[in-house]
Amino acid sequence: MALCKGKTIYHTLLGIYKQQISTSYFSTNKVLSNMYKDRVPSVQSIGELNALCIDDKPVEKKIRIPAKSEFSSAVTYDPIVQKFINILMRDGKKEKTREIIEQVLENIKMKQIENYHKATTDAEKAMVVTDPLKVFHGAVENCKPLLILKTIVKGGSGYRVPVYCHERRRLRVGINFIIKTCDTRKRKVPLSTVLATEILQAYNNEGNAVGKKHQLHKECEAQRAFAHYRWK
Amino acid sequence: MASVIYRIVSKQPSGYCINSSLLRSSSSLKCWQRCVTTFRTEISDPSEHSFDHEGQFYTIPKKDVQKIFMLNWMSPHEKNMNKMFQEFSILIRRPALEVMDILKRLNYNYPLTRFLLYGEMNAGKKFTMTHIMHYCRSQNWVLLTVPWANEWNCKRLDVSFNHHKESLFDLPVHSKILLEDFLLKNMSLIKEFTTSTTYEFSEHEASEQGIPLTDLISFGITRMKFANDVVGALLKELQILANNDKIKLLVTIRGINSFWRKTGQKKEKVQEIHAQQLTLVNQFMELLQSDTKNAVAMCSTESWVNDVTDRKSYLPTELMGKEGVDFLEPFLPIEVPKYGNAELQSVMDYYIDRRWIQAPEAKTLDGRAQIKFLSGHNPYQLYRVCVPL
Amino acid sequence: MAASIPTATRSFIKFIGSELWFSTGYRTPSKCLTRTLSTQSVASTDSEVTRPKRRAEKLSAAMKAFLKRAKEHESKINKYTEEYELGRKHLANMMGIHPDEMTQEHINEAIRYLLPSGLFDKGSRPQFKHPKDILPLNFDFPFDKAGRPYHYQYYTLLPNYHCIMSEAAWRMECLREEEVRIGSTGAPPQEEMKHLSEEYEWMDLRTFLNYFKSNHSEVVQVNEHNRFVILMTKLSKMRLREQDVAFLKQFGSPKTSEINVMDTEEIKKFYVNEQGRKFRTKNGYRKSAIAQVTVYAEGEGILEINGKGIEYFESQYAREQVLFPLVLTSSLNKVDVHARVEGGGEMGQSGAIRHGLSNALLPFVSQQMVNKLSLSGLLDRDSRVKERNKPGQKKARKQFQWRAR
Repeated sequence: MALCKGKTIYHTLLGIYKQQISTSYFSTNKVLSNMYKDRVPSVQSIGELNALCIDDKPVEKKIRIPAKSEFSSAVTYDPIVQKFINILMRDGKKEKTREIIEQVLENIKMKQIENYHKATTDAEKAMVVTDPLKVFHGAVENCKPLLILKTIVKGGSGYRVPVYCHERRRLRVGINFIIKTCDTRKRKVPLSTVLATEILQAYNNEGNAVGKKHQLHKECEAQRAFAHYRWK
Repeated sequence: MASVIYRIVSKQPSGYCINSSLLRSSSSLKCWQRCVTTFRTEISDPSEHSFDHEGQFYTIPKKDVQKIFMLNWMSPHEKNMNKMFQEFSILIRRPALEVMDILKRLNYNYPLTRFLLYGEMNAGKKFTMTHIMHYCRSQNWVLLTVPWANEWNCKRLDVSFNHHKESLFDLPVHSKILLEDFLLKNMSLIKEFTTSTTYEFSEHEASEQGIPLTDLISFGITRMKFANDVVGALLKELQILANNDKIKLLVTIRGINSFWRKTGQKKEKVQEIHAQQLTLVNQFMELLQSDTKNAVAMCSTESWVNDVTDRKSYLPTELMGKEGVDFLEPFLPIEVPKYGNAELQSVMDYYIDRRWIQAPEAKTLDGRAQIKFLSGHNPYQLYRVCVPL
Repeated sequence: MAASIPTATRSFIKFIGSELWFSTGYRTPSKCLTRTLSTQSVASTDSEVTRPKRRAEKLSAAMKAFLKRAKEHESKINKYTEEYELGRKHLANMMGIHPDEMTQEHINEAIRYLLPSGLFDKGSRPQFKHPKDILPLNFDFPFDKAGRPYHYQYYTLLPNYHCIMSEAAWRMECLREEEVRIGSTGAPPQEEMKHLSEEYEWMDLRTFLNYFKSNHSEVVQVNEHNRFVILMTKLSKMRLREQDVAFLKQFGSPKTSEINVMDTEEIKKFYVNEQGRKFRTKNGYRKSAIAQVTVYAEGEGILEINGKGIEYFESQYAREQVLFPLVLTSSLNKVDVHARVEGGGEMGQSGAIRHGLSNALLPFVSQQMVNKLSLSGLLDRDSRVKERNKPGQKKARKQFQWRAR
């Protein structure tokens, strides 16, 4: 970025996180901790942070980065929903995708509230989950795979090897599964209704998106003979 | 017309809602300043509502919802709310109470009184109309509704020529819907009445004197060709009945500023049609200018009707134009403001009760302040802000 | 003469003679002998006796060159001071001021007027200063007449830096030996040794360079700073004595738990209205939008944007941006905001208001909140701007269709 200004200092990643987080993440204000949720994994104290960043390399990094327009400290902010919006977006049209996802959450909520008010006994009412964000988070977690197939070239030919990957990659793969089952060309119904049904099914471990994850796991098991290629 | 007052409206400042009412009684000031402790009442009869119940919700029983509102009046958004919450409840607000107050004291020997509701987009004009319609139904009035007048201005209408006058255009489908709606609502009240004169629809077909009104209407529903003429006949009959002190009539028109705009239709793809060239519009305009007793007209100007470039202000003079104001004069203007602080809190309590707001952060004082800031005191925006919560 | 001298003096003479041979050139030892012996015998008896003159010592070529340079330096300074004084008087005459009353600021203004330059680097623009500000006065003699340097690390070219580093390394070795001795024998330590309670923060690059340049006129590089930091951190993690702690405190200070990022007086400025209300106005920028935001303290929560409320923005993204700094500092219903915006689109205008709001809130808010605002990145301008179009391409990145021929 040739147009960027700012003081660049050689720091380790640990140092950057600490400066950005030490006064805010571990304070009582939950609002700022929401902002940095996705930058740092769930950590209870500074000692655990130290334990995570052992293999640190010095990195050229700015201390104060201006905040983007996605972040906000409002009550309606959720970082995983923002990630979903960014992946679903096409041609840079963010308002349109945001409307779609609002409709999705509304559809989920409507169905669940109807079930709640129709249920008569207290036990049935407790089983129904009416919070749309909980359903959303649960569905995305059920779609995340544990291993991923990666092509490694050895001896001229490429083998597909099962490999462990970090959480950001798994999140992205899980969200892609959900989107690609719903976003087909021949569709007479709006995207929001299809997504809503898919997410409700994924929350209960049913449906096509979770099926893709099971298929991936089967393929990984089939290719487990090549697992040792990962280390050479 | 001694009871009618013509008032000049002032502009609305930002951030707060105006408290500009016609009849400011001492009880109204008190209830505006007190804190609303409960957000619900159990009184479902709107004739018993008074200024003490302001800021509280009341539920409409299911029979009335099915009869009056379900078919044409409710939008898909409201139908979803009805399905979701398993009930249909409305906030009691100041403009509706004012209108009901006037209706209780009005002298019905005088000719038709015209109310005009105006306000910003999504401020709650439609719900005040539902409240008043429910009140009138409890007093056994006859309801005639036009849920959305801009439907007559759309492109691709089924337009046909009028038999009696060449310059006017018919709308058979829309008039059929009107008649069906009317029948459903007022079946029980119109059973006894009969027509007073004969109506000739064409050379061969005519209706005789002494037929019950229901037959007239069913004739119009089956024969779509003559549906528009049946509507005109109906309106004349209703005027006669009202003048003879047999029924009381309530006419509601939503989006009256579409009467003075062009339709999107072209005659033989060349000539543009203006709304004044439609028979339905002319029939309703005759009604509104007539001298019928025991009748009340309730109209509203909507800024959805106009193009995006013409929506700078929500005042009726700018939306309707000079023609409309001259036509409707003298009328009673009533402003429907945005939510006040007490109303916001009761609405949020209702949403928490019905599980529309669930996050524990949003139930605190800070969360409520944030929601209040983001919505801008607008009822519809409040609903949309709470979707992910 | 040689036979009568006793044996003890003979060895003494040889010793002296060897030195005198090299320093004083080719001379006969006998004459030197008489001279030295006579000086030694005479100095003890009488003080009124005049000492014989010492012949001029011949110097090495390096010494000569050094002395030459020193003389040139002196003459240079004298010359420049004369020119400076002359020019100063002429300038004073031109400006109409008495030369005693003229200050450096007058001179700077005059030069800016007479010799304007559009150069970016301020050090390369024309200046008119006393030579002591520009050239170093002292031409140090870090070695004696024989050419032997005083400092024992002179030949490293950075004696003071290596002195510090070797001292720290020496201290580390001493501490290590102590620990080994304690661990193996079990004896108590000679002095009290403790770990440092807090983490220390070492000198910045800039202060490090200035420290050596101003005090010792040495030019240090970045690699040396890195090695310095690594050594000091290693030292600070061992168990230290009091003298070690005093040594370390010259170069570092303990880190505070809070990072007071901005603590200047400019933040705390505000003005007072005619009606007695405090307020502050600041500008905010984003893309091509400019906003002027005024914040009144002790308010009710009124918001005004170009005469309207928050309905000015239609999308929820834009409204959340305006709410962002107010929620962080928890001052939603305690502050009045009035804003005026021009240019840009919807999101650009809301970003500009956010930038101006967070800068205008600072004096009415505690120091902890100021840190929060700066760490969350609300006080800096977002420098992302639309990329320019380039020749030979359709747009900034899009290229014309490729053809084989």
